[in-house]
Amino acid sequence: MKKFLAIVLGIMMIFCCGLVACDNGEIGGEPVDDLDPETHVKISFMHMWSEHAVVFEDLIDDFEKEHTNIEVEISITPYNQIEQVLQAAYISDTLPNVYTFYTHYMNPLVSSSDGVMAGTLNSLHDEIVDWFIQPDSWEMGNLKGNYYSVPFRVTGELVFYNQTIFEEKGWEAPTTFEEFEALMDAIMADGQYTALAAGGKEDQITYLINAMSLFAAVLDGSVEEPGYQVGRLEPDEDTSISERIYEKVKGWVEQDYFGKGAIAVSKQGAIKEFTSREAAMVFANVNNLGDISSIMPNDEIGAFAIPAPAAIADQVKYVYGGYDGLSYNPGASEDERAASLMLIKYLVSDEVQQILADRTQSIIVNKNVTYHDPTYEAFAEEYKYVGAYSTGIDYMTGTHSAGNNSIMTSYLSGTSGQTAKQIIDLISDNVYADMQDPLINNPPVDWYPRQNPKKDFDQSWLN
Amino acid sequence: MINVKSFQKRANIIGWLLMIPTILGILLFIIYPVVFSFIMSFTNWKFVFVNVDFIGGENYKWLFSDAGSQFWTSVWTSIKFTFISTAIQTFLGFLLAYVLYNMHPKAQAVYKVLIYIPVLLPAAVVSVMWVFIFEPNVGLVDVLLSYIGIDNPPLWLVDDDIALGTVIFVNTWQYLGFTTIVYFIAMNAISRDVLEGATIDGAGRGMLLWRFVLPLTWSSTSINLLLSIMGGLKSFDLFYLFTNGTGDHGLYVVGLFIWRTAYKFKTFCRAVTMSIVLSLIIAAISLTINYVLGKTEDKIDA
Repeated sequence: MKKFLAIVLGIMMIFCCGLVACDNGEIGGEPVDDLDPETHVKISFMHMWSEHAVVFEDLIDDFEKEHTNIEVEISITPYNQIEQVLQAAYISDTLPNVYTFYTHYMNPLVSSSDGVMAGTLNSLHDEIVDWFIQPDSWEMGNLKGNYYSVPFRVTGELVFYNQTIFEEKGWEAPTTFEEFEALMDAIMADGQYTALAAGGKEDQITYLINAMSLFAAVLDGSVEEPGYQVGRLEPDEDTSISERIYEKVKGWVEQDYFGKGAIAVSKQGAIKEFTSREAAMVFANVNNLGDISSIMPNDEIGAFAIPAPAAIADQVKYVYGGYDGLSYNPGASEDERAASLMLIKYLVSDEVQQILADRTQSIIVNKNVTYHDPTYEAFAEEYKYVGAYSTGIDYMTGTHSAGNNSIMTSYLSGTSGQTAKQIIDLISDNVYADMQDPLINNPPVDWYPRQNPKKDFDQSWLN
Repeated sequence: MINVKSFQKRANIIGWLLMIPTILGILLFIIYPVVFSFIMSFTNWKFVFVNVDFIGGENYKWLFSDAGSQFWTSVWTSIKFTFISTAIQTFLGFLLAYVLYNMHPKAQAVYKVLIYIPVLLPAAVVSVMWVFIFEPNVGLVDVLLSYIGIDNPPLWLVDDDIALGTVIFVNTWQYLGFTTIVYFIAMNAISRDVLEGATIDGAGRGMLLWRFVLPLTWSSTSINLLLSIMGGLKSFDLFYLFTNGTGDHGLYVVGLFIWRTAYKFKTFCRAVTMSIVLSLIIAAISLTINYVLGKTEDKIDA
């Protein structure tokens, strides 16, 4: 019996070692030509919009009629399972030819698999980037100089406001950051409503830190730095501006601008405060609009992106968000890859995007689309800022920086007992630890030194 | 005349044949994953089998360096959670079972069901329910506290100092019924004659509980402690659901950390390394407790 077990264990160990030695990462390059019309091919397409399954079936039918030599098999996976499903599909050699994932979150599919799960889209980028309302959106899916995802549909959170209350009180939607702050002050001074309900538990309060940090980066010229564009601009020793941003937001938390105990409130809790008319504004997604309007049928709802300081107000706004995107399997045959790119191009074309806007009430990416519903038209105008000044981060983050949002939340709630300077340094140190971890980034990467001195700018909006 | 040797030989062959499905199951679902994980812990396996190389003991070195300190912090969080919840659950479970034991049979039937209902609820339902209950301002707990004049209650699931206590409370609420029922069954197995005899000899309720009921249900204490400790050290679902999988606010238990290391950070080799070390820790704790409980049981028997 002992001999038998020893033999079995030995075989298993050899099998495991063999598995380690075996690589299944054969990938092909990005096809540049369309599929030969005489060649018949069958490809698979996985998407995550079960609520729009019929629309996609119709669109794919039209595609098949247009390209009679291409057959497309559709499958649907819920958005919250798509990452695991795609990874399992890759392992079992059933990765779909074309699939939806997130343009702003391609790292897990690209870096951790050394690019075997998503093919490059550099030529396609050059060919169709002008079709997009926000060309920077492509940068969200840019890793180490290659594009891996075509933005397809916008998702993000705007500041929703109750227009009816605003009219009653004589308040107006802000167009600059200074007006935004004055508006919040006015709502708090009025005393009847919480200024901006936010789900602090799900990091919504930190959107304001992100927004103000982006505005500061635009004003001081950091956004033009090569280091900023790959997400690893060397942190300055002088962190005074960042400290002022952190302290400003913490001050708002302490004065209950986001509601009592906002740091522990969920997104749904924040929306509940808004729909029960306890808050005049709330962070919410366009997907929430239907529910909010049905609960508050007598109130008009408007929305705006967080506006920038007056000096750059016409140049940038901030929306926390990203894009549902389209990628293709680089391990498929050359014909399948060519057909895959044709399908991707078709899905972001003027005609298809217009159908999607009309039938799915989505905010989509094509700049030539028109919205027939004025509310959605107004929302789309604000959503075009999703991805503005986006960076193509060329490294992976992992264990060390995973707790950075928690560190920020503990600072804002006052439970960490640390100063803004300590928090900023700690967050940078954590990111650096991931950059230097050879398993997460091989070879390890370093900070990218600043090439030009920072520009001076009017800092009165930080007071 | 029966040939005993041939009969035994045939029985042996049939025995071996009958064992084949079990052996295959053990090889495929226990031995193979363990061997596979052990080998992978010496590689740089990130997620898919691309560019996987042997890197010696680097993952173990990482685990015992400063860079891997989060693992030990998470182990400590799990140990705190496990031992505090086990202590509370066992103590309350014993008391509740004793109260139940002394009830009228009709009342027993009703309360047994009520106490056991939370055990049957899936963790997802439990977490959604309690997240609503602990929601700031509008949650049931804060609303009730505001009625008695407490207007600034703690942030139950966000304050690093009390979030673990909150999860311990929910976990106790969920599994108290199981502990209670195990004790209740053991108490019913105690001979009524023994207790009646002791009562005739002048033993009061306290004496009965301390000198008779507790020792005679000691095997249930052992079962409850072992199951609760092993379950606690592996706990994952409540922590995942309460923190949206982030482990923020002092709720980063080791199971969640290992899961994130594998599926979020895509460093499977480190996740399997941690799993191996965690298995050794759990085995050491379980064996120690088993030994201590065994010794105590021997003393009771003596």
